[in-house]
Amino acid sequence: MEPSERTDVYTLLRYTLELYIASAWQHMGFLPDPATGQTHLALEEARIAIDCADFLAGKLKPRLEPQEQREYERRLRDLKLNFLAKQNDTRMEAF
Amino acid sequence: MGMIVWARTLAQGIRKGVLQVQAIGRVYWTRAHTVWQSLPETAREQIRHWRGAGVAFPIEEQRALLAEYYERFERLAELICDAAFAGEGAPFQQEYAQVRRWLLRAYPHLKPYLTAHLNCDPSDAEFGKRTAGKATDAMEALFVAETLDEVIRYDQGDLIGRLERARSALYRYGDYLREVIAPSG
Repeated sequence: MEPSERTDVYTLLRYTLELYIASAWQHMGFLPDPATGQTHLALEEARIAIDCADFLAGKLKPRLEPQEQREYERRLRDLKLNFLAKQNDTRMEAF
Repeated sequence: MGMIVWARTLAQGIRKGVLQVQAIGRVYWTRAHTVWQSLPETAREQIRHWRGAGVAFPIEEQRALLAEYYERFERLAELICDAAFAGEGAPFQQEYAQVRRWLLRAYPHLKPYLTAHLNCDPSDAEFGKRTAGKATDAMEALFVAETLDEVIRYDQGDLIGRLERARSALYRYGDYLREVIAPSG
């Protein structure tokens, strides 16, 4: 049996980053939770997921091509914008 | 006695003259400084100003300006977004000030063309009045405040919509320019 190729930390970072991004969309109610098939709103959890994604993207940044870097920046910005919009909506509803 | 009075008058006259010269100097320095500050950044811009052809802005140059403007705008949007998400503007203030300086300088050149593509909302003008004492459009309202903290603090829930309106206007203006250029190219 041939030894399998080792997983470098950057591949792991990319994978985890995608998970956090997906999780943030789910907690903002834009995507259904794959476990339940239902959408839900949990902004505090979404915030944590975005924070983590932001941190991971920062670590990954030096290894990204400029085009890829811009793409991640755009995705994170979209997340944050949507988070802020959702937060506004929630505040409005509370009033 | 007469001599002393005469000497004092002379001294007072000299002092008054010096003060006047200083005041005039200050006025001229302020004027010169203002003119220097308002000078366009590039030689090409300068020549256009001297020729008084500020109104006719060649399409290719509009496109070049828009491309550069769009990049800075995206950076601004990112900074606003990060600051709003973090709930404080201080960590991003230095870069905001830098981007703002550039946008304040470039926007007057772009505004006459962009206005046609910009959706209006009363909250944009109100935001400008609250922060800078003058009505602003959606784009200006994003960088009219001196600090990023003000951008967040004075927001009444319109910030995200404003960002979207400004970005859409840039997209539409870009599309328009592409359409104008396409037949000839």
